[in-house]
Amino acid sequence: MNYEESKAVITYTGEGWNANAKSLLEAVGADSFEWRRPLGRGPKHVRVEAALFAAAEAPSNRPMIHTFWSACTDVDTWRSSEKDRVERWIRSIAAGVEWLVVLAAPKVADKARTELKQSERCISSRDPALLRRVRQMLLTAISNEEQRLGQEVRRERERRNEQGWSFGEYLALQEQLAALLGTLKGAEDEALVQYDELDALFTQFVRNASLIGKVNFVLRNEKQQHLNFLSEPPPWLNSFSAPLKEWRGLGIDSNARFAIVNSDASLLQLRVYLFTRQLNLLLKMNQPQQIAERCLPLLQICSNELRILEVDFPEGAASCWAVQVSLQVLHVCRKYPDQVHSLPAATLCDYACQKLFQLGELLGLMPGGQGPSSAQIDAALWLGAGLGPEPPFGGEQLKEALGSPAAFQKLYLELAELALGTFKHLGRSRSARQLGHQLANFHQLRGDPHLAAAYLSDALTAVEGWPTLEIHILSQLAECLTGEKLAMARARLAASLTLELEVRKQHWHQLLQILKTLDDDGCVMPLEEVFDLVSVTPISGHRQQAYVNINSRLPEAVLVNPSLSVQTSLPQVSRKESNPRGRRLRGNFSACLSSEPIKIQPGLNEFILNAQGDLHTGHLSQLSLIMNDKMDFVSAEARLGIIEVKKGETTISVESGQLLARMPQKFQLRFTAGTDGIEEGTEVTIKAPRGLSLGDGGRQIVIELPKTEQGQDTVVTLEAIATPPSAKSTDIEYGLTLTSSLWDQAYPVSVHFTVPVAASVKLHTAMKTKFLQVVVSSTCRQRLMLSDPTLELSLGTCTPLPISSKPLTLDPDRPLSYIWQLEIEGPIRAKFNVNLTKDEVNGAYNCEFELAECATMIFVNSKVAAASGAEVCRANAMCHLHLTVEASEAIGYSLMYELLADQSMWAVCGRTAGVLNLDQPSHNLVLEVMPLTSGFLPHPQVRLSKYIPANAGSTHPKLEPFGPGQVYNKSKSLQVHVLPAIQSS
Amino acid sequence: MSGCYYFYIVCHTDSPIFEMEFMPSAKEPKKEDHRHLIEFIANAALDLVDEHMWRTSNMYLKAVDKFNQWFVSAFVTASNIRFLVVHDNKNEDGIKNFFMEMYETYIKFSMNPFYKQNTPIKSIAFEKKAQFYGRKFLTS
Repeated sequence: MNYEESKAVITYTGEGWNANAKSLLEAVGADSFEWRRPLGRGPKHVRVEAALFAAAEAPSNRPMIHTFWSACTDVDTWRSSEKDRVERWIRSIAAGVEWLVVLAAPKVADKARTELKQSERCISSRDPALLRRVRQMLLTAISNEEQRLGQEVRRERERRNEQGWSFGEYLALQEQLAALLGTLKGAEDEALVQYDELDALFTQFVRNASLIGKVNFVLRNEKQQHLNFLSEPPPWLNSFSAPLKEWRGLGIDSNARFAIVNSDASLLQLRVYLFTRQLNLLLKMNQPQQIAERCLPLLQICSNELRILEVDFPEGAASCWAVQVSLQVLHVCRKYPDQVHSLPAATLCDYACQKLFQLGELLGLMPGGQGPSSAQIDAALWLGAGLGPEPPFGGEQLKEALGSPAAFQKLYLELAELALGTFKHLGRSRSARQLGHQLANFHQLRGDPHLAAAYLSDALTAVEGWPTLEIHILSQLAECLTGEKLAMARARLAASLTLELEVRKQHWHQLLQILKTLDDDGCVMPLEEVFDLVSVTPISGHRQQAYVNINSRLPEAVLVNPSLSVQTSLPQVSRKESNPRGRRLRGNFSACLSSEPIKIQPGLNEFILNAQGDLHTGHLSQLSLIMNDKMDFVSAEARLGIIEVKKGETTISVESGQLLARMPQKFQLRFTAGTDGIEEGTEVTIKAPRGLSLGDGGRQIVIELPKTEQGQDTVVTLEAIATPPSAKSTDIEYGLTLTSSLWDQAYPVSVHFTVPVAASVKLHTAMKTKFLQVVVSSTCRQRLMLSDPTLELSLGTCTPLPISSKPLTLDPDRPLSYIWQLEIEGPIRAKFNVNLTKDEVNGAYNCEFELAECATMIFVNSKVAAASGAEVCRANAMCHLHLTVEASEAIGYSLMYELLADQSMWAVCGRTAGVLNLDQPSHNLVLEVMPLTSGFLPHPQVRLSKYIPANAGSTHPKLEPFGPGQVYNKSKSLQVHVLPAIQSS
Repeated sequence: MSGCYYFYIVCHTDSPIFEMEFMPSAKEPKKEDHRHLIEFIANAALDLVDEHMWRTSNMYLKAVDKFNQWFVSAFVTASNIRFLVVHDNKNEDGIKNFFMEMYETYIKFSMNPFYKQNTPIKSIAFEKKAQFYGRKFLTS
């Protein structure tokens, strides 16, 4: 459809036509004119162009006005003949078509207006309003035609789902409308709308076609019978599924239009046709910025539609077409300098690059290969042929590029650099880096790893933190690097948790290979890339240490030399590195903690670093792990903790369990070396206090200490026997005093001993015979074996009862007793000895007792009997207490007796005390007592004391008690049966 | 694969400081190459996010990019931290609500004086919140 063919037509008849008139009519299109339109659409300023035709030659089917030109200049001629001619002409014109009679002379024109009664349609050729009148009429004609076509288009569009409807025919119809609008300068946008509508309608049809299958499937599955299944795709759409035979770029091709109208065109033909029309209109409208913007969606939609419609085409044809169209559009854009560097153009360029890259790989045009094979050359020729003859919009580079790898590479680089430059210029840094990534592949193939590495490094910064992207680019980057940088890249890859273990191991082994080739300087790498520093715990003091916890992400164990630098002075203010991935510098490691090489396993590791040589105070700053003497993993400088120097002397602590006195016991002295350590053979003199013997029995020993590093321990075991002076205290503390060159003053240490047993004695008397009971109880809460008890008396003899030589076990809660029968006279001293055994360690226990005069001198016997006349004792009845006191031998003093009765049981009537003069061996006394209650009552006690009467020395008599055992009470613990009192009636 | 959401918080240096995926409960965990694709889409959308944010005064930029079946919705905080969600379902309101809640959570988190800007967010509480809002607004 040609705009020239759609222009409105002005026909002319009559002989008044002349060259002037022609130029006049041509001026119709010179100026714009307001076009008022029906249907509420806003007015537009348009320029109308018209084609001139002689009435006989005028084409039909175009908006048209007819003009009649009369050369008649005088009124008489008008009347006689011209009027009839004009009237005949007017009658010959079909109804509804605009016409105009142009008369040469104004006065004839006036006449004609009145006589023909058509004041609007008769005008003088000299009238300045003629031009306006012609334009108005043309516009009216065009408006009428537009309305007619518009209605028709709408009607056809409504029928689009009916049988027999064809997109080609509809397109032809709407194109007429578009062409008509296209003839109006200023209404191109309306024309563009027509093509956009066609474009959208077609897109919708294809979309529906892709949905029909899916939706029907779902409806069938859900048994939604009440919903209408979508109809099958229209048959005319099938023609677009035909295999592609050619893939020409943009350009108007009359054959293509013919094919489209007859539903015989390929998908690409239709798309190219529509886009070319749109492109032309955009250029007419002077809106080049939309061209590139509309192009990319077109390419994407087409590649989708080829898929939806299942179009068959040779491999690479679609890419070839896309590149061709892109090149053509870019070529058009180049005419507008501000357009070629616009974002849409750059995106288009980028897209073309990708497609070109695919083509290059397909056809063997990429650099570095063997060049295209014969099959690939054939394919390239075939693809080139499909592009058709000379394209109208340039783009011949593609054909050339398909033919030779050199031209191809030139074209690729040209496009890529244009896109890259534009992206950078527009601030689309990520897009630029992505493209750079692709470009790096290309340069890598070209054998230019340096350039590729530069692009990849740039791309790497864009994806920092995106694990899979980062690793992907890093893996590629590793292929382009050498030496130190390669080693670092391999280390990062080996430590990447996103990769498979096997792949990481490969990288790891490659790293080990590379390290062998590195020179002695090695390389410094940030620690965090491979290890996570979990924690650093400094331990200050004379044993400077740091516990380091790190997590290794390496796939295998690695042997490293660790060191941790100590920053002893404030760091100098320096500019911080802005990029954490930048070169890591090894700080000052002159003061550091370190250790022997250690093996770091994958996962968490803890190791201890020690101060070697001098100690330092400062901040722990950098951790360095040197692997294979080449690769130094250094952490960022930070304050990991403070470490200080604390001078310290050797300290001693006592380590022992419960130590028992009187038995040989062992205990340990732990020497913890101070800052200066302990020299080999340092002598230490240990002095024990009285009561404690060390070693072989002396109170002083000298020991020699082995060489001990600072902070290390040496343990010395000592044996000692404690012999506490008094048996009373059970826990005794002995202070040891240690003197040595290690300390300026004596070093005190205290040791605690526990006396294991305690003994007590009890004297028992039976008439004149005396027994001694020794009760031994444990005080140490431990089980002991007791054997060989002996009792030594200072005077007299003793016999153990019963005689047993078996050792006895002394339990903590069960005291043991030994009994001896004594034959003694007067006060004596007794010494008790017993052997102790505990865990096969033997000891001895002894203690001494003083025994006062204890021979029995007096026997007392008392008996309660009923008063005379009564046979039994009754409560509240008087009873007699018969008291007999006998002396074993004559004693030279009087005795005082006292009756001590429990007042709740006994009431003593009469005397309670008295003095006996023992001038005869036996005294009998009767005292009166009354039981107060019934039952078995204990006897009232009788106490005897020595009575010393008052003499010159003292005004009062004195009482002296007897010693234990001197008075033997025969009736002790006797009881009296007392019956209840007789109830008085 | 539909109804999957991949949430990223991207800091000023374009690194993701937090990522989380939300799957409908019945779905199996994704494959590794899938993750690569999602990261690629999210990373590539950053240019568009930067462009879109000057065109509107809203923080929620809606869908800024599309790649095959994947959409990228974005939200830009006042401090220019970018939230991205890569998704294959249209769920404009849900994503908006999710973004708003996460914005609040992020503000609270970033006010922690021990958190350094532009460093990865490692907080169980934050993760739990994200998971909760993801379930509430995205996958439910």
